[in-house]
Amino acid sequence: MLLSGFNPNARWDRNIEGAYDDPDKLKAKIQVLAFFSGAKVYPRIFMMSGKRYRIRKLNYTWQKRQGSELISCFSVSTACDIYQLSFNHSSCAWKLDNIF
Amino acid sequence: MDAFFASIEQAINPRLKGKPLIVGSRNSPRFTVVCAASYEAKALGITSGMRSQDAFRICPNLSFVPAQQDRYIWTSRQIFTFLKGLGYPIQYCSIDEFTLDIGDTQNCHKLSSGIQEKITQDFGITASIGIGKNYLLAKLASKLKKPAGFLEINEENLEDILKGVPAKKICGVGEATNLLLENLGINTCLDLYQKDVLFLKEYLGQYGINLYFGLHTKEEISISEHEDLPKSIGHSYTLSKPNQNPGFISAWFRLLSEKVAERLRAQDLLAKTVHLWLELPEFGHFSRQKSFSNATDDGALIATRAMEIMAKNGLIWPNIRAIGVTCSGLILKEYEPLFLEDKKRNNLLKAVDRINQRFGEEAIFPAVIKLTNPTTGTL
Repeated sequence: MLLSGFNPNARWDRNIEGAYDDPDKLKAKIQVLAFFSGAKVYPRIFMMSGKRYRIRKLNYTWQKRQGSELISCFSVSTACDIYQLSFNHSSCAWKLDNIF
Repeated sequence: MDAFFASIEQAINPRLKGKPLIVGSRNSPRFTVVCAASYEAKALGITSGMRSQDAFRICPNLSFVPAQQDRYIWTSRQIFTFLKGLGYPIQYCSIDEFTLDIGDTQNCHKLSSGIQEKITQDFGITASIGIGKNYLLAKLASKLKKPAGFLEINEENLEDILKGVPAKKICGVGEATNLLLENLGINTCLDLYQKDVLFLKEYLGQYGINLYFGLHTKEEISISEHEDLPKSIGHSYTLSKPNQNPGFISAWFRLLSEKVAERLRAQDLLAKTVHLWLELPEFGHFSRQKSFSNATDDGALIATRAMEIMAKNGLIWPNIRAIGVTCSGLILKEYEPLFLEDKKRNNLLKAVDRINQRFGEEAIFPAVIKLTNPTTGTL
């Protein structure tokens, strides 16, 4: 596919393992109750270590690719903290990536 | 978009809202450059391109977030898709900048506020919109009303606006050009606008001609197959500290060349010209290019050509801070290789691309690239 003007793929950056503090470092498996509407996903509650966290606000969503796998990422706020969750569209697995 | 990377990080982590924040590369917060600064940081005098050490000196409590390109690329693409849906010819200018050709649309204020509202609602970030008869004036208009502003420069208000704006605000007018303009008595954008093309050509050469027509011509964005062909494809990287280790440097040449080649192959393109750009602490900028008779999309060959350019210009493994490899002279790859060895190599590259597309970036790569990794840089 040809793109005119700027191509966002030019924004490549070197991913050096271990050379920086990985923001997606936790990668803990979690259970999530989510609402699917059309092509969009809205996580509502997640369970971690037997504890239930109600999501008060969905701050931001974005997607990334790991090879052919599509990953949706969510920044969510609970009553106390802000978490980054991710959903792998191929394996349908939810993970907790980060706590801000 | 206003302070694009920093605004996205503040939307992702609302605790950063209202705080001075910089987005830097993934290396140490104290040993990088500022990719983006929030408006709170900008108010303290912190700007993009500044060394992070200097930024922390200005504000020791500065928040730091490492750049996460996937977030910015995704948001940029989403905004592009939304703007494209408005039905006007559109140009992707940079990751946070788009040009729409709205022609003679009458109610451009309503259109602009609709775009700004949608971007704020969907992404929690703000955008500034400038309207002008060409890119340079529209860009200037958007710059003058940041953040979340709107300004239209038309024939009625053009002189009033330009007379109060320094010439260096025009996109492309850097410090050296501004100094030259000041010596010529050109201090404001209006002074520059009122000069004729011959005057600008005499003192600024081809750039003066481009500047004149850029400011005076009514531009249109045309969409044709021919113009879709990119003019160049390149990648650059600033090392965390200057280095002159031949193994390390040649690995970086190869990695950047492979990234360029991968994008050439993805678009079925071949490159005839290789351009090498280096930042050398002892000598300053180095920039040379060379055209070759046979066009290529092979990263190994592009890296060899880039190193050949360096060697032929008398640089024998100098101390290097930043490297850029760009390919231009692009042509469409219309024929498959003729000879057996070339066919084998072509098939190998296609297979590598397919593996990386399926399993992720650098699932398979030339072993020499491993040397670019400072933590595991051994073969």
